[in-house]
Amino acid sequence: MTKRTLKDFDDILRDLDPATAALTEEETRRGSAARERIMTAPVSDAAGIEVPRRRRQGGRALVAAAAAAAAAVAVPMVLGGGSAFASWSAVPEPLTPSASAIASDACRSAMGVNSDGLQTVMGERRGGWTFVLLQGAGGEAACLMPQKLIDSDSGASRADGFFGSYDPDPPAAPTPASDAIVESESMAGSVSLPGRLSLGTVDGWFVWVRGYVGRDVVAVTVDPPVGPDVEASVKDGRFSAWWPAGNAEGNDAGSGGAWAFTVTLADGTVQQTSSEPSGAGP
Amino acid sequence: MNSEDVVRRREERFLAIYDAAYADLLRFVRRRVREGAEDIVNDVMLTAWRRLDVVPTDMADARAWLFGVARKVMLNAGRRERKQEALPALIVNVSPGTAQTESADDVVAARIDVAAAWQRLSLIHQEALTLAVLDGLNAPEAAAVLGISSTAFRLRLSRARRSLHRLIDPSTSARSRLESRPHVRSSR
Repeated sequence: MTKRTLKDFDDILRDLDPATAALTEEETRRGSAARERIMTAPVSDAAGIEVPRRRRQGGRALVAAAAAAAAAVAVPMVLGGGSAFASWSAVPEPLTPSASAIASDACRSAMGVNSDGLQTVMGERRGGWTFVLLQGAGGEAACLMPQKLIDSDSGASRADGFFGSYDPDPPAAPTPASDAIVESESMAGSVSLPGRLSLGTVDGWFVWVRGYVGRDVVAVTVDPPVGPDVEASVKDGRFSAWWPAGNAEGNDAGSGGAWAFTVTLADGTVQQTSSEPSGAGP
Repeated sequence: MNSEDVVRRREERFLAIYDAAYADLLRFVRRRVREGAEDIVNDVMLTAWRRLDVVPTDMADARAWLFGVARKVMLNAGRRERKQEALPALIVNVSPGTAQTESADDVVAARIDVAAAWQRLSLIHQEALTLAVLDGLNAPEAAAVLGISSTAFRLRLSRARRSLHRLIDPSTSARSRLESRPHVRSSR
């Protein structure tokens, strides 16, 4: 071999480069299509749409982030179709123990939290979306995930989107009156915006509530401002529900209006109730 | 500035970054994975769209930021299969090119030598050379991708070059051992 310099070796390495070619027309077209899709995604910095949130608990924050290092995370669905909630049902389907375990693992993994000290409190399915609530010494985490995320353990799928919150140091559980509930958490997020942020229409706000029930409460129904009544999941003193809330305009009644609760007590009594302020109780 | 202006400026900035960096980013990823490069690029660009507030303003720095995100995405994906801390390029194409100043045989021989030496180079050194030579990053940019200081990258790159050179041409190995001896002594 002829004597070679470092520069010669650089040139040879460039000859061996597997990715020198200019993009093909088809690749360029796919790149442009992806760009348009990406620009319909909700954003997380100060200039973008913020995920509204009501009744914040002390020390918690909801932010959207691709990395799950923050205390709470919401990564909205982005690249899906326009009818993300088409399969949603007002009545939750309980999870089998194995489905619950798989969903809980997916939630921990998606949130990047350690499995130690976070046990499953409750879980439910509404159509293509699964919710799990985890709690333990490690804090409290909740995830609302599309089936695709649960089925796959790849990081790419995680980037497709899920909603979650993680609080390493949640406030103490409130003690509601025996026939009452305390809504401890509510948030809204958006999914799958078909148009550009400034131009097109958007579809897919949802509202997500959870909280604590008094010891006599066996069922909780949410009456949202728009749409059918929603049967919440109730288990071990906790309740949770979420529902599609119309499109994501600020003044939209579905995402902006108030909702009411109806509770069913162990003796069969059905009564309307408003959530007590968090932390209140006898 | 009203909110529509904010949104429009944001979109314009993202478009500028996307269009300037897309092809480079796709090549960066293709050098490192055998399949799924476009999906990875889409994930990276989505992260940039969501976190535009943390993407550097300077375009070259923004490109390095995108490369850094892509590297983490690929490392995370690869980590499921095996522990890996560096992402070298997948060197291919040991065949004669078209533009030749030497005889074709010599060019092919040189490529085979380099490709063989490359396989014996540590992953960290492969990665340093890939960033500098194939991705065309300067030291501060490559350092940003790796999350290390520019000085540390320069040192790593020079060691990588020396290692590759030694692996290709063992006579340089003997020479550099001799050169290094007085230095080793004086440091005692």
